[in-house]
Formats: sequence, structure tokens, C-alpha cells
Amino acid sequence: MKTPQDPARLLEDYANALSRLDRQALDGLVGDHMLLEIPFLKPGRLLGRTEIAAAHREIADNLEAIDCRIDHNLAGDGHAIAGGRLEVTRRGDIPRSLEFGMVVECDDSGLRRLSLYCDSRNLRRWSDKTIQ
Amino acid sequence: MTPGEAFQAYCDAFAAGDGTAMAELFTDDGLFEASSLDAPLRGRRQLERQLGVIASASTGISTEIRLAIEDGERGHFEGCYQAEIVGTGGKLDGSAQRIDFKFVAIVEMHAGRIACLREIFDTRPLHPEERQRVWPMNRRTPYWDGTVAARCKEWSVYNNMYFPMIYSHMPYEDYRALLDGVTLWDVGLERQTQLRGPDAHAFLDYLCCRDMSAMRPGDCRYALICDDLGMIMGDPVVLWPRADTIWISHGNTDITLWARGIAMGSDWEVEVSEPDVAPLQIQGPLALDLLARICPADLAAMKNYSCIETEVAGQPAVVSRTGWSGGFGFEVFPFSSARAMELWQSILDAGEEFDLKVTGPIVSRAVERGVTDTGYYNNSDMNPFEDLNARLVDVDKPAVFVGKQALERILQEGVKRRSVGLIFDAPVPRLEWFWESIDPRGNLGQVRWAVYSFTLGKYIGIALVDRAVEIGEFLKVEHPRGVCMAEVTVVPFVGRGD
Repeated sequence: MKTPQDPARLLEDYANALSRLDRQALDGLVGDHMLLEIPFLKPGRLLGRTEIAAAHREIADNLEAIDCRIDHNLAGDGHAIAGGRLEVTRRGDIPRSLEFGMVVECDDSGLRRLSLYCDSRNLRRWSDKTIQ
Repeated sequence: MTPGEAFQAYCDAFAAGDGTAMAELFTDDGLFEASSLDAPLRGRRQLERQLGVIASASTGISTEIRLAIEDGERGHFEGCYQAEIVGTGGKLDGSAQRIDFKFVAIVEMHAGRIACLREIFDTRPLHPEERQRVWPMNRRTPYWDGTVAARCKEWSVYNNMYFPMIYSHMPYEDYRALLDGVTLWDVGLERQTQLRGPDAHAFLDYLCCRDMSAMRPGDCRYALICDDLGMIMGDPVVLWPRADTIWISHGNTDITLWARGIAMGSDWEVEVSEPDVAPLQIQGPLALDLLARICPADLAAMKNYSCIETEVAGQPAVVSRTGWSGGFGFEVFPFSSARAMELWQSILDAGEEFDLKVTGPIVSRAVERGVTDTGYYNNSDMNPFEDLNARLVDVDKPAVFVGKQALERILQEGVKRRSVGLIFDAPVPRLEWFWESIDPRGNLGQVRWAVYSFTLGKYIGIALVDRAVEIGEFLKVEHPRGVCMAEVTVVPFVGRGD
């Protein structure tokens, strides 16, 4: 029997893996039938391990650096909501500093949903092509 | 009050458009931040006013909180906000523009009140169209960089220059800022036809069908200019800022070329030119408070339609008590655009304490007040007797003037049309060109202005119709979305203080 995962810990693990642009670590956090919502991706909603792994590849290929700094992280029953600040540099672009919110839901397989809230208006996406 | 109770109460008050109730949930120095705001809101006074405006700018508001986590004085929430924007800033087909988005809200409480509320969401869905692309065939005003930084997203072309019309606000936000606060408009595209020389005043009188003979230095006058056939070319504001200089501050018709053409080869001793003067409008009840910070002149003593030579933010300029708001305000005419962005920034800095909002012209308010913009094209084929300002035409004035014979002939034959107000019985789309109207006797007319009136809560317009049309009659109006009826009424639709 699998142990239910700690949502606050998973959220932090995802933020840390993202900050390292560590694709393997990011993929390892993905649970069954996970939904990933990141406004900088195209499309902004990705479902399942295949699509999400492709999204992680796009992120790692297109970002030069990212620092995902969490200020406060609160956990409930199977979910967590955090706020913080992103320092992100897309290749060929200038560094951007953005406030973000992050919501995760999880089950015993890992992350079931991760939604990144950020104002992406007038900013170049983290993927140029449509992720499939 | 727990964070969850406070946030739910905030959502309920927001849906009700109750700025007071929202502000009361916050501590005295409470802070509100949201992705869609130009700047954070702090303190109850600012929260009450601004949150009330933002909430009233949309309708059909509902907020669903999907996830909530609380820990002592802190609460984190995920939810979905749904609403649609009020007014005619919506889609071109006239349907309402929806603003639906998911958000994360972070609430920090202190002593039972909200000390800080941050709402984080993607504003991209709120602005599906990025800013309009422009081309080098038309000029920019010298304040271009400032208007882009202020998030202008739509320009019109006016006097061959780009005219910042719509910024990334909801229409009601701009409207309230004009009525309650202060707004800054880039109207650098209002060009000045400068008249100098011994005959400058007489030449001005020759160009205008209003009697300008009593005008003196320091005066401003609204005037109508017609062509030789008696058709309106423009309705400029004339300024006399220096003893030797008259400016015809004109709208979207090249009055400078017209005046130079008339002066060339004539006996008029007048020099006609277009100086490098790019005006700004500072409009709204707090315009005086703002401008007084950066202008040494006794602005409070200025009468409506007067002007004074002074300095603004250290730059030589003319300030006039004029504007296109239908209310209180000033126009600033710097004598050079060489330091235009310094002037712009100085006004922004001085306006910070007054919550200055950079906007385009508030067309909705202008139409409510019966202030229109009469040009050779946008009110083409119209003589001045058919205009809302027909009273300003004086065919019997002492001076001969352009169009006099034609206007006398029109009077002899009888004026056939007149301008009236309309109140539509149904929502109408944004007016992009004249719509046809039909009166009860089958005569055709044209709707030439149409907006949503926030004060009346109705769609209103101004139409050029047959002379026989009476107040209280109903016209049938055909617009791109269909047909509606419109009641004929008087203009202005609202008083100065409404």
C-alpha cells in the first residue's frame, strides 16, 4: 500500500526541481493522470505523463535560468497553496521577476494537479511550439 | 473574523459593488494587490474608492472559492471569478466582453481585519488582443513612450498622428477617474495653426463663422470653421496666449494647410505655421490640485476659456482652462516638444498622490455632456446650423468670412436638419461609422455618436435628423447588430455635476 504524499512537500520539491531545471526530478513528481497548468506553455493545460514530460523538456530547453522562491506554503487535506516570486530568464530574453501562486493536489501516486498562477501577459511563452 | 470569513465577505461585497463594505474589511493601512492593477492600493480611503470603481465596472459577478487553507491569521485560496465588462468597450459586434479567470488569493489578517490581500492571476485572457500595431506613415506624439508604458492598446489616427484612445482599463474605471479624480490625456495630435502678423486677429475672424472680433489676449474661444460651401470643417478652440500669437487648436482637419492656402497670394499680412506644440489634457475635479504642484501661475483664478503663459514643471508653456471632458480641467501647451517626456513624467509624479489615471478621451462622458468633435470627415456634409452649437454662427457679424454667402443662402432656403439626442431602447455596439435612422414620417437621418452612459445606465447617441423631428418621438435605428428604437431627447443628457 502506497503512502499518501505530503502536498506541501511535493509543492516545494516541484519548485526546487524547477529552479534547477531538473527534468528528471520534475518528471518523477508527476502522478497518475496529472494536470499541469502553466500559463507560459502552449497549451496552458497539459494532461498525463507524456504531455507533461514534453512540457518539462520545453521548459528546460527554453529557459536559461529560473528561481522559484516560495514565501508561504499552506497545506490542507491532499492539497497545498503557496505564494512567492519567480525570477526567470528565457533564452534570448531579459530576466523577469514575477509574483506567483502555486496550487497542488496530490494522491499516493504523486502530483495529481499543479497550477501555476502568474501574469503572463506581454511575456514570451516558455515554449514556442504546441506541446503534444 | 477568520481569513476565510474575511475573504468570503470581500467576495460578496465585490459582487455587490460595495466599496465601503470592502474597505471596512481591511485594517486602516490595509494593502490590496492584484495582477490587473497599475499599482497596489493602500489604506481604507483608496481601497473604498478604487475597489468600488473596479467592482462597478463589471456586472454579473460571481466568485467561487474552490480550495481554501487557513492557518491562524493567514489564508490561501484558489477560486474562479466570472463577470462581464459594463459599457461599449466590449467586442466589435456589441456583445459583452467577459472577464473570467482563475486566481490564487493570499490573505493576511491582523486583529480580525485584512492587513494584506494579494490576488494573483493571468491577465492574458482579459486582454486577448495585444496592443495595436502601428506604422511609420503616421506620426507619433512626443509622449508615445509614456502612453505605451501606461498600457495603451488602441490608437486612432488624428491629424496624421496616432491618438491614444483606449488603455488597459475597464471603461467605467476611466469614467470615474474623470468624474471623481484626475486624468491625463495625450492630445499631442491636437495641432496648432499659429497666426502671427498685423492681420492675425482679422484673419482669424475671416476663417471663423463665429464673431471673434471681441477676443483679446488671454482669451480662448470655441469656434466653427466652414469651407466656402458652408460645410463644417472643424470646431477648434482658439487660444490667444501672447499678444503676437494666436493658436487655432484644431481637431481632425488640417486647418493649417487651409489657412495657409487662403493667406498665400492674398493681401493678408499674416504668417501661418504649425509650431512644435503638443498639448496634454489634465481633466477632472482634482486637475487644479495636481497642476498647482508644478505650475506657479494662479490657476485657481483662471476663468473657463482663458489661457495664460507660464511654466509647467519648469518648461515654458501655455495653460488653458479648456478641455474635451465636458467638465473641469486644463490643457497644457508646452512651447516645444524637445523635453516632452520630462513633462509627462513630472505630471505623473505630481499626480501620484491624486491617483492620476492616464486615459484616452472619455467619449462616453463627452457625449453625455454634448461635447462632440466636429470635423470635415466625421461630421461631413453638415452645415453649422445643423450642429449642436448652431447658436455660435453669426452670419451678420461685421467681418466678411469664409462661407458667409453659402450660409446666407442656406438660411434663405431654410435649414433642413438638426442634431438631437437619442436614448436607445436596447444595447447597441460600438459605433464605427454612421448608422441610418428613420423618423415617423419616413425621413432618413444619421446616428453620428453612440455610447453607453454610465450615469443614465442607458445607451445614448447624437443624430442628425430632419428638422421636423420632435423631442419625444421615436426613431428606428439600424446598426450592425440589428434594429432598435431610440427616443429623441435634448442634449446635453446630463448636467455638469451629474
